[in-house]
Amino acid sequence: METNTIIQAKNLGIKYKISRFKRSSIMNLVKNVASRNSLKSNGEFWGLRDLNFEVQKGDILGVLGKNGSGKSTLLKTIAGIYLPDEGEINVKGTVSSMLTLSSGFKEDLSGVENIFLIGVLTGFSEKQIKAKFSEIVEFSELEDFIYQPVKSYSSGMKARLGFSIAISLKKDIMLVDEILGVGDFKFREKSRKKMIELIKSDITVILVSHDSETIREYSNKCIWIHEGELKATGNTENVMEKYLTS
Amino acid sequence: MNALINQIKGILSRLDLAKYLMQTDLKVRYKNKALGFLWAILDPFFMMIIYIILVSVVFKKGNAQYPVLLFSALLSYRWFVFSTGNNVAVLVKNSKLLQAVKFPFSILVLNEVNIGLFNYLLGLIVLFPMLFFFDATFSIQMLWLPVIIAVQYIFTIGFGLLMSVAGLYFRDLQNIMLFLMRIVLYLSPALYGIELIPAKYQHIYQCINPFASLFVSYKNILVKGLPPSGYFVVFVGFAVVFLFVGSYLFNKKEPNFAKDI
Repeated sequence: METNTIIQAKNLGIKYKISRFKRSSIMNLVKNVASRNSLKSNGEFWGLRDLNFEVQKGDILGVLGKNGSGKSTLLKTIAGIYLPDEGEINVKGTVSSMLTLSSGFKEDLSGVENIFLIGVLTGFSEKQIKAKFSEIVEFSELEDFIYQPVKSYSSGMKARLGFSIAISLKKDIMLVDEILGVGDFKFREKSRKKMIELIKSDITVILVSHDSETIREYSNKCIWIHEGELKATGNTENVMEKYLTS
Repeated sequence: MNALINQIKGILSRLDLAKYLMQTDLKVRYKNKALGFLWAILDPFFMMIIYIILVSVVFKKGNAQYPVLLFSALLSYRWFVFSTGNNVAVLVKNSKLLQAVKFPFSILVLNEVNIGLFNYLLGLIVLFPMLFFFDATFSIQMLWLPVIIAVQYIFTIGFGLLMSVAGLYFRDLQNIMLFLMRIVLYLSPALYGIELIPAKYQHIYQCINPFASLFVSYKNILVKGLPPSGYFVVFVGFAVVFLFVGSYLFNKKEPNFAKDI
């Protein structure tokens, strides 16, 4: 492992179980026993398999692939939410998954309280959050709404707050899932600018998008996943060419 | 043992999160209500009034101290029911969070027990004036209270860890537990005294029902001025077993939570 390598995946595999008992209930149990199905899981499939790639510090790694090809599974694995069922993944540094921060909001709490809740949840101290607080509020353009409960927010407002928190409370590795399409036109432009700033800093970014233009514009490296398997890896132009001609 | 140490380490490393979760939960629970935190006291108070009316006026039963005997046991069971009822559903309820952020998930279980404890302590504010009013025996035995509370805290955490995992894989458990916990209340000496159990069954009864010794102990130290029940060691045993089994199971299944939800 090179000293600059920040993420390294070796034969990485993530397995999903398809079990009729995943959401078991008494009715299912009765049904299954009645139809003499075995009580064991009924199958499994690999969400990702035999993935080998490396990410260096400061890289912007684009992840290409159709819907359902395993992109989100990969992000969750890098974030440490899924553990490998096969092979290994080494991540040196802290990870922030910008994609899902707003799903952690508590609807009854105000924007202010949610900033602190998400901040503490993702491992920042109250002091660190306070230092970034005005920056977050200002960027989100929520103004007085920041004191209102999040349940009164529109989905655009929630996305703006989520983005502002994620972009201000930085980690070594940022996972970005289609984030460039957040909010209205004006905010999208603003967040795009902020993204470029982030990309130009020494932070490592994993960028997932099914829009190849976004990837081409920002990433210096790419991987292409198809049905959980690695189709191509390397610099953006090469991978993009293969992806677009497929 | 390793599983337990692992879980404790996880929680200790994120104490600020445990604190913040509790603060925000309490805020959500009592904010936006005209009487705010007063509800935390009014709620057990009304519960008390209902039982007094039911027992003293409607049924005309029980001795003079009956309401306060009942309340000293019921208050602790209210804590257990609250925390366990929430913990059965805690992983499902927080499913979005589990799939978005990685943190020691046992903090969620701990949080439900902490809030239950907080409500219990506020309930004591109602209980203590009642002890005066019903002429309870104030004695040195009351110093046992923090000890019994601490053991119940461990019992509820251990059981909560167990139930949270079970509740994730078996969703019907939420409904089943609400029903079971009601039955257990009627099978335990809260609404009646332990004397009601025939003498020859008392030994086995207190050995298999952990709540028997718990309720007797609360009644003894708070109202009767007696030491805790000798069978309280049974409750301690249950607490230790639940803590070990619960943290073992939780530790083993925790890496799969996000995937299995």
